Amino acid sequence: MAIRIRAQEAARVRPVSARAPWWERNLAWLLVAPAIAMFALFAIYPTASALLFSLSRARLIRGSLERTYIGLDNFRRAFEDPLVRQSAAFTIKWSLSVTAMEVLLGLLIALLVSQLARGRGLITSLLIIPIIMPPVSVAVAWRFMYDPAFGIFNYLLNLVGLGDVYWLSDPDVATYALMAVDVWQTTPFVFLLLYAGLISLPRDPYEAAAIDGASPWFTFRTVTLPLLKPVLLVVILLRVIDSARIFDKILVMTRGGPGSQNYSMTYTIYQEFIPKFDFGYTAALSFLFQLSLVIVATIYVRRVMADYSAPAE
Amino acid sequence: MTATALTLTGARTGQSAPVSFEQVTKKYGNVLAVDNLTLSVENGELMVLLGPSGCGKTTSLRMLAGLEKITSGVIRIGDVVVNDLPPRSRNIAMVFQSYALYSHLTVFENLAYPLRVRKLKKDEIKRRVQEVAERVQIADLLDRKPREISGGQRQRVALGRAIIREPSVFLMDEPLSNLDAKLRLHMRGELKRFQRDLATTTIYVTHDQAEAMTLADRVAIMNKGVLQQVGPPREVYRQPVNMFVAGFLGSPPMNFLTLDVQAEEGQLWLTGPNVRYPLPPEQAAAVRQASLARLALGVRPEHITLSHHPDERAIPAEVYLVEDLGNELLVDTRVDGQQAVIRIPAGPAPSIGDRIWLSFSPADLHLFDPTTEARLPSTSPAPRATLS
Ligand SMILES: Nc1ncnc2c1ncn2[C@@H]1O[C@H](COP(=O)(O)OP(=O)(O)O)[C@@H](O)[C@H]1O
Ligand SMILES: [Mg+2]
Repeated sequence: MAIRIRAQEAARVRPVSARAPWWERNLAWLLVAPAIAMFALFAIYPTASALLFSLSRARLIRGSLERTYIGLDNFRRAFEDPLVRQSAAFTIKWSLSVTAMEVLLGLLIALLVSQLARGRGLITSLLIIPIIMPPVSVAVAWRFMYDPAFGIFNYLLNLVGLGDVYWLSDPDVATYALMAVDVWQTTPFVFLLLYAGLISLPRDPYEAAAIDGASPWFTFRTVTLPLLKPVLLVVILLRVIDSARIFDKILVMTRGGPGSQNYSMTYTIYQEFIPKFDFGYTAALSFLFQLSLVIVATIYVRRVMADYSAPAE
Repeated sequence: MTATALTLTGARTGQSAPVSFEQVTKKYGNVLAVDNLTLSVENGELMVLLGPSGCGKTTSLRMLAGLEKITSGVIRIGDVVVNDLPPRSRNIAMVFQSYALYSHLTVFENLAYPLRVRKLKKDEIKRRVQEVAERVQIADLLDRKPREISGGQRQRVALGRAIIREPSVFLMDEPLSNLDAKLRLHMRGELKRFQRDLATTTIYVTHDQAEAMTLADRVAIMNKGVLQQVGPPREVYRQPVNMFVAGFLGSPPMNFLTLDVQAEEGQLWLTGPNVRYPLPPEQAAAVRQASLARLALGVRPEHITLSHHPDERAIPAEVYLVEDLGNELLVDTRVDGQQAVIRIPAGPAPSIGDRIWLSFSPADLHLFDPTTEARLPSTSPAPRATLS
């Protein structure tokens, strides 16, 4: 918000004269033109062409692409496809669950670290390591750790006298095992954002609350949470959208298995595309998925974050 | 409404309590913020901590509040040593210089906060908030957020939040310094009234000597972390213990002329290149006793009379500048190159460059040792009837 206000102020300070050369009068547009061009090239064009494909039957036949217009048939098929329904439900459950766990854990760690007298820098740099690891490497490493025969987890379970767990093939366990990997890799990112938010909160209200007699828990509920809410809301949005696009870990660790239990939306789209090269149907699915995310994000920003988009003091 | 009406039913009833600092020191690394402070504040008293910026006033207050650890010494509230008690166990209320309102809460919720902490019933909270809001005249602002009200209104909210409980001690850190001059005068009066009505021990921090003098039961003047003098406003004004206190109180401040001491013709003279001032006999004894070669002569601007005629018992000066304040004149003069400001009623003004003579009643003289800056013993002037 602050940036927007400053831009307005800047505009007020130096009004551009009508007699200025055209490039000066349109300087603002010229400056954002490259960004708009990039956006058009990499966002609008693919979306538009995907939309075009989604209204067609398009197949690779002997190395050439054949396309016929079939109206909304692909969309009709998508809504009737049980695998699509199942993977949509999985994606929603996945996204909400990992977001909830990551935000709670991240907040907890951020609160603990911000109370530390020393060692904050060390902990913060250690926690950055999972963030910079490529998701595929993380997935490979965890797949080995989950291995029923020679993975570390079962080794440890055996040590304490417990039996083997089939982490990635037991339907009762696999989803949680996958979620744990995502939580392990992404909680530090959530932690970093919340920690930055926490340490930038004003000291004043905390001192006032201490003097007013508030307990630490009361202070957390009435001061920390409300003040941190704008940051929390942004983090939740980022994580909901990002985790809904889960693909790499599922591909590497279980290929959506056991069965199709852990098919995310992106994995279903991939499954429809790679073996079958069904351009039209996968374009329709992609379009629907993208549209759902846009709708969720828009409603969230309008409704939930509305109070916080007013210019701050 | 009386003070007793402010009792919070169902909550721990706070009784106003005395406060004492005993040899309290605070160091930030190598910075000695408060140096061996010993100060007692009586029950119900309004004590003002006065001093220039950076002298350790806020630090003293924050140590009492429990927001800052004490390096050494003891702080008591009532009979309790509070050194290791967290702020919430000290039963104090504080008005911060920045007000420290809860920016995400409404005015109502800000006032209600200390009561919610104490788990009062909803309707009891509502009643109390309404009462206090009326008292500090913000009853029509209860639904607003702090950013939606003016600085003066925020100050009232901060004050309301402090008085809504019944604390043992009020702490106020320059609560008026963010207000414009007119509002500051108005709130100063209101604060004094509140404090009188509540009869609760109050420690008030300010760097503004006029504010200190008008509000205080007693003033504690600090400089560079060291307490200089404690006493009722009149006393510290009339008998400053050193040149710092003398120069800090009063506006414009006391004039100091540093002159040589000479004994001739059986009496003491204060001399400079152009000055030969016979020291009044009342003062001479003290100077003899201190056997000083040089002396700082202090006189307040309002205690100097000015004459255009040479006078053996006066000090010659040259007019450097005249400031007309409407109801009075400030005449800035030079005595052997040292500055002396004289405050006289509006009337015919001397002109720049005029040669004039300054005289004053012996009772208005303050004598200091220019090296230690301490007041010479037993040179206290006889009490005057009025404070100007
Ligand atoms: N948190 C701190 N860290 C280091 N030095 C401090 C801190 N707070 C205050 N000081 C120093 O202590 C001295 C007293 O400060 P303070 O009590 O705020 O003065 P005052 O309120 O009288 O203006 C100053 O020299 C100040 O720089
Ligand atoms: Mg201060």
